Amino acid sequence: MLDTAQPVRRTPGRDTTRPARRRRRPRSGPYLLILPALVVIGVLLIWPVVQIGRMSFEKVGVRQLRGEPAENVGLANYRQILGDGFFWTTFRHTVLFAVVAVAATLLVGTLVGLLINRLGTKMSAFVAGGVLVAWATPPITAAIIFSWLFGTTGGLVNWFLDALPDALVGSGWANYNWFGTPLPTYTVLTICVVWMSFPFVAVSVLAGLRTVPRELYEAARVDGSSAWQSFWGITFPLLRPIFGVLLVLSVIWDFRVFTQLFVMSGLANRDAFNLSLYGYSEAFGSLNARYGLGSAIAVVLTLIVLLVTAMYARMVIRQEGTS
Amino acid sequence: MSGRSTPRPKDRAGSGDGAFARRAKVAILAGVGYLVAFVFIAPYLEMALTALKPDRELTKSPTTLLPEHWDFANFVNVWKAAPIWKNMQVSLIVAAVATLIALAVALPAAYYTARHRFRGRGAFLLLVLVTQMFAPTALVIGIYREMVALDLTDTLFGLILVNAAFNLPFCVWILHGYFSSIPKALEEAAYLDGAGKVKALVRVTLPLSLPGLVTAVIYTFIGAWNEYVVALTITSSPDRQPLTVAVPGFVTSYQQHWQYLFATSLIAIVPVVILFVFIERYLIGGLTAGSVK
Repeated sequence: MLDTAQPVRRTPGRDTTRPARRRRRPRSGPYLLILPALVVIGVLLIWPVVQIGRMSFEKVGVRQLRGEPAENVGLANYRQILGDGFFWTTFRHTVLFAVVAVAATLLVGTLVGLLINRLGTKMSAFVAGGVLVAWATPPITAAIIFSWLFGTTGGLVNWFLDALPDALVGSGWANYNWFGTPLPTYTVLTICVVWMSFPFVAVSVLAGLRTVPRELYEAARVDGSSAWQSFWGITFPLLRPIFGVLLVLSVIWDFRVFTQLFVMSGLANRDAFNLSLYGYSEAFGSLNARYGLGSAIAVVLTLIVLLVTAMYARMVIRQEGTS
Repeated sequence: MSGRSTPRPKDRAGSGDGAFARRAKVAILAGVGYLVAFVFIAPYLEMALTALKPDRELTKSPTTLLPEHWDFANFVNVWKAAPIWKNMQVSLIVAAVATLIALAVALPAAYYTARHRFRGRGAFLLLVLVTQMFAPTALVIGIYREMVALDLTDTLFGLILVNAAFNLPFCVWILHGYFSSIPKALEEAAYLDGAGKVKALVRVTLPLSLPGLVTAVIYTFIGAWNEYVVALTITSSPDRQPLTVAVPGFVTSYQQHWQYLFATSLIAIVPVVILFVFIERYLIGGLTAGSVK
């Protein structure tokens, strides 16, 4: 199944000279091995992107989506969204949420990674395993449980806040609606997203920490440096590549968060939209589907993610080069 | 802030004070460890407890932590309340077949790019790296259009294709990383022993890259199992929807069966947890090994 064309071409005589970097004459046979991957990526990943790009310049309704010719409207879709204050509100929500959630994810994740690293074998395996299950939990499940926890029927958070002394947290929590206005909605969203995503950071940091020689820390301690100094003097510089990758990945993930917000506040609550929800709502939120407008929003979102991806690619390629 | 300085007993062992401080430190660390573990388990616990409450207790105010009446029948009744057995089958089929396809397509490509230099190799890897960042959320309109054009809306095959595709770049990337890290000399030794190219791959390279394979499989399976937005958009018949889309249906403006919602949510996590028990030791480190070396 794999690579059956190869053995014939192998010329054993040349192998001994420079086995590590043998140059192969380009032939079509081997390319067949990467062809399936290219086809899948091209047809199922690149094609939708091209479609979104094209539709963002067109007026596309349900009929046009099903094959009728669409009217080209030039930049009208972009003009409409960029000139609309509401778009900028969703844009602000998206960016602010990403900044806060990424910072919290990295901070909590790093702290938990450091903690697990110092626990005993059993305990660290337990905590690492537990946090990974949270990471693998379906976003829809996490969203549901957090909406329930913060909900007005049976929600433990309101019950708990109400039970605390009023002097501390104020009163009237029993019927507080967390999903009525954007700020509390995003607070819950941030807690939910951080809960789901810091495990990945913690486990990655842990994997990195295990590669750092212990002697470095001992030497630092003999020199009288504190834990804080050891972190910034040893851990952080050595794990900088890992932190870089984690930062970029978290930004990309948090920029396009959809499911959790979709469940918590839904398509009816426009005030709390972020970019992905706004785009989705234009396309699928009503009977009067505006795929063109939704596409234009998706293009903006994709461009931002691509920009961050470019930074990521540079980072990875540089590391590939040095390692 | 718990930075890391290894608590070594020797240097402070002289004074009783030091020993006490060290013991306190260990106790605090363990305490924080339990706290973190609790923060993780608490939502599941609440889910389980709520899933066991009878209908009338759900809306009671003030709420109670434990059910007054433990309604274990909820976990039985939920199978009758909705076609979730069907939804579970859909989820399983989609996740399993998507994983198989992604792996079958990724393996040869990853192996070839790891072992050979050829024209376009850099471009191919860059393509893989960039498309890895694609997510259905931003592209759902384009995917929907494609599924309409191919007449694959409301089919399992459409879901399978989309899930296989979105996880393929990660599979290629991580397998490429593992194959690259295995010295070619090992395979060449196998050739000297008379093994063919395929045999060397199956007997030498694949077993050595097992952590990478496992990571790719798990990542794809979980990704497909958890996928929501595409399934929500392209499927419409209740018996062709995966669990992720079916679960929220228990709480709508027409009916509020939170206990069933949580029972199903717990059921939906089961495969993920089972997978994790098997592969945790591979996964730690494996996830970043492809991107961070």
